[in-house]
Amino acid sequence: MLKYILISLFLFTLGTAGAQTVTINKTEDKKDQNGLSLGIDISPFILYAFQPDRIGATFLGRYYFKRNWYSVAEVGFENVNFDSNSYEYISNGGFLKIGVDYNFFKVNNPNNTDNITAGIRYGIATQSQQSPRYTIIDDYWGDYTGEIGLSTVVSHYIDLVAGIRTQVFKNFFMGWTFRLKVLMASSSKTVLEPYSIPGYGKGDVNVNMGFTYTLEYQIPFKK
Amino acid sequence: MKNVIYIISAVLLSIVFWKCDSGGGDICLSNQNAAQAGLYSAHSLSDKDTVLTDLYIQGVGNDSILYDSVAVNSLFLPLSMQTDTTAYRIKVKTLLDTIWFVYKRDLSYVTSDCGLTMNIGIDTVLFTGRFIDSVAVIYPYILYNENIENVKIYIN
Repeated sequence: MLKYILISLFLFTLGTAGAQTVTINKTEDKKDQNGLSLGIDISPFILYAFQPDRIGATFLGRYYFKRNWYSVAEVGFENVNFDSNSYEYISNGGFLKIGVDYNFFKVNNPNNTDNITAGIRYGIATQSQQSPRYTIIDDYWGDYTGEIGLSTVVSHYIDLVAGIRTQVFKNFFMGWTFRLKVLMASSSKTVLEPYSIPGYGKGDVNVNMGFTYTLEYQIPFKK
Repeated sequence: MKNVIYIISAVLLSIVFWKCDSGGGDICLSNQNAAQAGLYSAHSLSDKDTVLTDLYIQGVGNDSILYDSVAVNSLFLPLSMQTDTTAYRIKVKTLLDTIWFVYKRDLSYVTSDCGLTMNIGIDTVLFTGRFIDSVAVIYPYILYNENIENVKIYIN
């Protein structure tokens, strides 16, 4: 628990240090909410330090298309590879999410670019998985071992998203989201269920919680 | 305002990080492929437990003795996952019987932490009749984390 507090405080320190050095130009910032942002979720890299079995990355694009509304697309991949006493598991896959965010944080200050958002995503993931070895323990007759060949799994899920986002440097934004994910459907043609569904989380539960910590660059449009 | 937001963020992130990373921790069971057999008297109109003393049980084709000079009123008999038939020799004092279990095997997924298990469905139980009077299959399924008596063995 303490290591997570320390990591989050480290990130908090970076964020506040950057925010304190921003110089805001009142005339230009009316355009700051508009346009396209591209970003990356850094939480998979942090989690990799604690879960080296899973490696992945998520990239996102955000477009301000209407007052307080953003359209969002996320794309990423996840690879899982572990060998435990019970079984060995290998999975490689990717996902795509599309959705919208609504900004609830409304102030009369045109220089304020903070967002408190809530939104929804529809996600689809595809992965190929296999178990080169599984072992079922039998102390009297001897352990039973086998393998499960390669199969493809397609999964559909919904993310309910809430979070914050703020500008820390000119055109650079930092934010996090907390997510409630609901699995709608998952097709597995073999007895093996996915250990982790890309973009969703543990494959043997119908509801997952998750988070993202994103760094975004807003492409400045010239008028 | 930003400082307050970030402080709240740090605390919430800590909780979320910890919650999401605390997956796993399932307690995984092993040796879930055993038929549970109760021993009953064949001379009672209602099911009455009976205890066999000085009992030896050994799997046919296995050098290990499963029960070695014990007194019990119920048995756990592991069924081999390598074949569809498992046989045991049961010896009580000088009397010897053999019992065969014929079954189907079905590979099944438990959880992401525990992996797979073999579910078993008992088709038939055959036996020689030196001291075993009859055998009734009352619940033919041997499933992961289930503790249910599968067969009743009635003793003369």
